[in-house]
Amino acid sequence: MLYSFKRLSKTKKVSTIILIAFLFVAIFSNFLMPYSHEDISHPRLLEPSRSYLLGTDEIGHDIFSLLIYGFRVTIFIAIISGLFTTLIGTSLAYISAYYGGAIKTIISETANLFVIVPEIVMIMFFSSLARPKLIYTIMAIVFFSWPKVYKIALFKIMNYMEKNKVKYTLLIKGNWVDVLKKLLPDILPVMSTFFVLQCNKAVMYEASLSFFGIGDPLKKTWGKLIRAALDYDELYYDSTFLWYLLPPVLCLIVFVIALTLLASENDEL
Amino acid sequence: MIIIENLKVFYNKITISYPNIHIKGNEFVGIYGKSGCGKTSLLEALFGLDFQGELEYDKCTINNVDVKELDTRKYDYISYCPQFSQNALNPKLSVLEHIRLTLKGNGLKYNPGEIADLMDRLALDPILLDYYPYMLSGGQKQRLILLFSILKRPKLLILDEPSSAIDLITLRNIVEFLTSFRGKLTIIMVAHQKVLLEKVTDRIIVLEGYDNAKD
Amino acid sequence: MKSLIKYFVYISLIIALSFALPRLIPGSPLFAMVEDVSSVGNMTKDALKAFEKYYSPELPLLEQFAKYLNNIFKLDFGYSFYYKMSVLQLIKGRVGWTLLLSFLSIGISSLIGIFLGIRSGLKGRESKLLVSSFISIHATPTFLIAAIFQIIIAYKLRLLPATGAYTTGASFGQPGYILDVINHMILPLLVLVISQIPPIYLFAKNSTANVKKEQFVKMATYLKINKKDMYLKYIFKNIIPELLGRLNIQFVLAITGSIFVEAVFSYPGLGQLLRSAISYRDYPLLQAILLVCCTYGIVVNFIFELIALKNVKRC
Repeated sequence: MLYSFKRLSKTKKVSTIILIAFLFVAIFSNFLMPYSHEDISHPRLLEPSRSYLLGTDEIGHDIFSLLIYGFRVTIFIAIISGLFTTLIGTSLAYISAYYGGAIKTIISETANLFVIVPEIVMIMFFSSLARPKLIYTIMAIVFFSWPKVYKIALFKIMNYMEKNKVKYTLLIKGNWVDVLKKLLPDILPVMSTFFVLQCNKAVMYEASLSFFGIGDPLKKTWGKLIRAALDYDELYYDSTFLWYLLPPVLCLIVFVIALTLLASENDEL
Repeated sequence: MIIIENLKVFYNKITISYPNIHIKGNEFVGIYGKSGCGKTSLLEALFGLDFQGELEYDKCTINNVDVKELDTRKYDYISYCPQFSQNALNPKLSVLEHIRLTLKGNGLKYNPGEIADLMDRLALDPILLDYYPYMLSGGQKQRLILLFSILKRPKLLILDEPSSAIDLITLRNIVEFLTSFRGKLTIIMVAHQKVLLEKVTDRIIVLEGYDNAKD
Repeated sequence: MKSLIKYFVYISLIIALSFALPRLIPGSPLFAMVEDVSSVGNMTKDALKAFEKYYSPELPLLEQFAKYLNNIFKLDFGYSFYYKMSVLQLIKGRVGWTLLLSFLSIGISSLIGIFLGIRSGLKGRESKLLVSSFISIHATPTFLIAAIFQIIIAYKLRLLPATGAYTTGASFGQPGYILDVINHMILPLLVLVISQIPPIYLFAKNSTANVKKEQFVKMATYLKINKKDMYLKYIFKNIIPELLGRLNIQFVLAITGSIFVEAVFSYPGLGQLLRSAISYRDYPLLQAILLVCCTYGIVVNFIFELIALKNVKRC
C-alpha cells in the first residue's frame, strides 16, 4: 500500500495526508474536544480566547468543540453515503451486465430517470418528509446518487467484458461468483474513484440540506454549524463571522478540495 | 536551403546520428532508409510541431535560420505532410471548407480555376469538394492533403511516406503530380521503397540506422 | 419521435413516483403504517388541515391516486396554508424570476467557461492560480458562495442590495424600475455565474486538450490556418458533442443553483418558496416545486437530445 502511495503525484499525496488528518480528528474527536459539544453552560457570544479557541455561540456552545464534533459527523455521513452509493451502484451495474436483457433495461431506465432530474431537489423533498434522523438523510442521499455511479460502472464493466470476451465467455459457463472474481481487480480502482467522488457529493448535499434546515438537528455537522452561523442575526454586522462562520466553511472547502484532487484524473496540478 | 552537419537526435532513449545533408533550393531530394531508422524523427525534429526530443549539432539551418530559432512562422514557406495523413482532415469540415480556410490563412485568393486544375491533375473528381472526410477513401485523403499543401505556395514541401497505405494507381498519380513541380520548389520525400525514389528524385540520401554507441 | 414517447413515460413515472414515495418514507405523514396522522410530529394544526384536504389520507389508496392524477391534470396543486394562496398561483408568480436567473446565468457562464476553457486547453500550461481558484470555487456549495458574497459585498461593503428583486413598493412601468431590478439582480447573478463557470471551464479545457492532440489539429497548424478559425472550426466544432452532454447537466443544475441563491438573497423566485415550504412543512407546495424542477429537467434533456440529433446528422 505504501508503494502505491509513493507513485501518486505530489498533489494527490498532499490530499491523502490532509484526508488522513481529517479522519484522525474525526476518530479521536472525543479526545480533541475541550468541552462536550452539547454543553451550553458557557457564557454566550465570547470572542476567541485561550479557553474558548473559537469563542462561543449565542446559545452557549464552545464553537471549537462544535467544530471538532462536526468532523466526526460530517465525515461519517460522507463515508457511509459514499460507501453505500458506490456499492449499490456497482453491484447493480454488475447484475445488469451479467444478466442483461430485461433486468438491464429496467434498471438502466430507472437510473436514466434519476439522472435527468436534479437530484438535490429530490433528496430535499424526501429528507424533509422523513423523520429527522441521520439514517434517513443518508438513505435519501444514497437513493438518489447511485444512478450516476451505476451508469459509469455499467459502461466500464461492459467494456472490460468486451475486451476479455474469451475469458468471460468461458467463465459465464461458470457462475457469477467466478466472473466477479475475475472482474474485481479491474473494477476496484474505478470503484475507489467513485467512492471518493461520492463522499465529495454527499458532503455538498448534506451542507445544502442543512442550509434548508433538513436533517437531524442533534447531529451537528459542519453544514448545521454554518446554518447556525447564518441564522445569527448579528453575523452580518460585526466580526463574529470570522470565528463562527469561517472555520466550518474552511473545513468543508478543504475537505471537498482534497477529495476532488484525489479523484481527479489529470495530474497536471 | 537546408544545411545539416553532425546532427544527433535524442528521442525515446535512443540516439540517432545523421549524415551531413546539404539540400539546395529547388532540388527534389529523396530520403531512404529501412523502417525505424530515424526518418520520421528527422522530419519531426526539423519541421514538426512540439518535437519532444533533443538535438545536438554543429550546424542545422533551414533557409539560413537555425533550427532552434524557428517557430510556427516557418509554416509560412514550409508545407509538411506527415505520415498517415489520412487522419489529417477535420471530420467536421467539407473539402471545400478546408481549401477556403487554407487559402484564408495564407492570404491567398480563392481561384476556382486553379483549384479545378489541381484537382484534375490529382485525379480528384470536383464533386469531392462537397464531401466530408468520412466519405473519402484513403487515397483521396492523401491526395487532398497534398493539394492543400501545394495550395499555400510553399518554398519547401516535405512528404513523409506518401506511398504508405495507398494503391499503385494513386501512387503513380502523386508521382506525376510531384514531377510536374520539379525545379519550381524544394521537395523532400521520405520513403522506404528505393525504386520509387530513384524514379522521381534528383538524388537520394540514405539513412543507415541508429547508433547508440557511436562516439 | 420515439424520444417524445420516452419522455412522456419519464414524466408519468415521476408523477407516479412523487405519489408513491411519500407514502413509503417512514416518518412521512403519508407513511402507510401511520394511522393517526396527527401523531406525526412537526406539523402545526394549519399544516395538518391543508394537508388532509389535499392528500385525503383517509381514502383508500387507489382513490387517493385517482384524486392525485385528477388534480395534476387540472393543474390543482393544492393550497399553501402559509402563503394563503393556491399553490399554482404562487408558483406562477415566482417561476419567472427563477427561470430568468437560471437562463441568464447559465448562458453567461457557458460562454465564458467555454471560451476560457478552450483557450486554456490550447495553451497547454495554464496558470496554476487560475485552475486552483476554479477548483476551490467548484468545491464550495453554491449557497455558501452566495452567503459569503452577501455578507461581504452587501452587508459589509454596502455596494449592492442584499435581498429582493426590486425595492419594495416599486412596480413595473414605474420609471427606474428596470434599473432597480438590474441592481438587485447583479449579486445573485454574479454568484450563480461564478459557481457555474468552473465545471464548464474544466470540461472544455480537458476536451480541448484531448482534441488538440489529434492529427488534424496539427495539420491545421502546418497549413497555417488562422487562429480564429482554429478555435471555432477545429476545436470548438469537434468538442461540441461531448460539450453538449456536459452543458445538458449544467443547464439542469442551473435551476437548483438558482433556487439556492434565491433562498439566500430572498429573491422572489422558487427558492424562497422552497425555504418556507420546508420550514413549515407545506407539503403541497413542496411537491409542486419538485414537479416543476423535474419537468424542467425533462424538458431541458429533451431539447438537448434534439440538438444532439441535429448535430450528429452530419457525421
